[in-house]
Amino acid sequence: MYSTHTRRPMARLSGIVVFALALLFAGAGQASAQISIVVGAGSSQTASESDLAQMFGGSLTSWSNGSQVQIVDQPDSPVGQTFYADFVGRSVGQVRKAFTALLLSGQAQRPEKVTDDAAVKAAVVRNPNAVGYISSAALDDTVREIARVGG
Amino acid sequence: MFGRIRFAWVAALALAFGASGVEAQSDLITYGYFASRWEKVFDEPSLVNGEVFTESPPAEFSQPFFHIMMQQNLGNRFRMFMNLAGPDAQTVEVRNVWGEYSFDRKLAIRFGPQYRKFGLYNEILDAVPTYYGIEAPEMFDNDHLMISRTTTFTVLGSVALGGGQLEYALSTDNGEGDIFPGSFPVGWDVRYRFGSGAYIVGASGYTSGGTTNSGTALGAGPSDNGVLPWMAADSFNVVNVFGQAEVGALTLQAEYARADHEAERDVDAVLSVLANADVNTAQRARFLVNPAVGAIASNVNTVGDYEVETFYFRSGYSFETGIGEVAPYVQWDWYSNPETIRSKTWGGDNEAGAADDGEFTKATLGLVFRPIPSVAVKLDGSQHAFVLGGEDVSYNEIRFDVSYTFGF
Repeated sequence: MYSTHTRRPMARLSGIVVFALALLFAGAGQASAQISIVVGAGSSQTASESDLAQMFGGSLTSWSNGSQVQIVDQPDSPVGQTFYADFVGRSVGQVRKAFTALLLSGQAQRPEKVTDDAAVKAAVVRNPNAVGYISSAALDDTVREIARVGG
Repeated sequence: MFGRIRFAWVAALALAFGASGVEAQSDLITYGYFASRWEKVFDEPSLVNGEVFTESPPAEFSQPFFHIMMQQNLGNRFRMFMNLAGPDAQTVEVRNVWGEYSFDRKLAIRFGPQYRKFGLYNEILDAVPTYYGIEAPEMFDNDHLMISRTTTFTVLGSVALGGGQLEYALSTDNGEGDIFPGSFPVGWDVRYRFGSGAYIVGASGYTSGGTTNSGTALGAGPSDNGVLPWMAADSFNVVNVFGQAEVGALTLQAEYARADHEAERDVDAVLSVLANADVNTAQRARFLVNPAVGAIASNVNTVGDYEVETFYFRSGYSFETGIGEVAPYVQWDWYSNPETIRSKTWGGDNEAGAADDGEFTKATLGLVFRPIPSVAVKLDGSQHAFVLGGEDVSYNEIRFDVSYTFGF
């Protein structure tokens, strides 16, 4: 049986180690949760963060040059849930309904729904007016990052 | 005839503008919805020989109807949209067919038959599955439209402002009514969207830009452009203010509109209305200089100036359950039009026109249920209240609507 004198320093030390590890992993978690908003590498489109939030929320439907925005969406992925909650500020359901009303009145393009980062990248490469979001860890030279969420 | 010319015009412009960027042509996207509706009115009051009687008309069931929308980009700057409707499951009509050319975000032109930008609802009224409630706000109720819903030409755009977007639109009309020399109708809409679209505030307006008349002949039903069919001439202006907020799962909407008419009644039309449309005492008193004298040409009051006002508040709360989305909603509408009459055949409406003073309120309680996102089931009930024969009266109405959206 350990005495209380020998246990306390060890307990403090292990507490500090646990806390430091928690911070480390939390930091790593934050880094991996970063989301990049991307267009194809060959696209010249760009927009402010405010404009991008409005585009994904359905209240801005064109790029500054007048071209219609093609949203590439992965709403059912973990990245999508985080993206709408943290960046757009509206739920996936609210945005879906907003886009349905816009589509039925001809005011927006139908978002292209995909399932993962690779499909988003492929879609924005195909269409110079397309914009999507991916985990920042998935960035490569096929796409161009125009904003970062949670960075 | 005009429809064909318009379509050819749009198609030609589409080809002309699209030719510069055919390499960026998108696929033709098709989507839409099917729906069906059942509604029933209970104990609707009317005045017979000065006494209030009630009757319950038969329930109305609409055959499954549909809207099919198509859109396509031709190049980076031109796009087309078409809205085909099958309102009675037997015929197909073209509700909208327009092309839009964008110079940039600040300036675009849209041409072809289209719903004008005006307030929160006019553009989306065909998108019934997407909003709370089943019925249109009173300003766009087909029985008493405040203005024509459609236009053939719009200039529109938006500019960034303070973290949101300031949008504008200027439009003409769609050729309702006869052409009067010097008249030039203009509609406008300005709105500010912010909070990623969660908040909207705005104002809209319309001026007949001179004299106009009804787009519907007397005896052929309610007017399609806000001018009552017994008017020989009408110069009018409409102003509308509106706001919408999404606060979490709660949606709030409010809108107020007022139309000021400087109108001249047509003597023969008024005599026909008085002889055939079963007008009430107050309406008869408006139409005649001296109601005690009788309906003769020399006694018709041709000065028909009047104001129409309407206001609504709508609120809905959406939440997910284990069996789908559930969204209860409440709505309150108020509408006032002292000039209208009860007979829809003669250009009136059986709501405001049934009241002594042309005024009624409608309180609605409803529920939307979406077992899956593409299916919406709506059930709501309304209580209409107004003054009839000097008494406060009311009646109830229930509506059921089911819709299936596809292509999303």
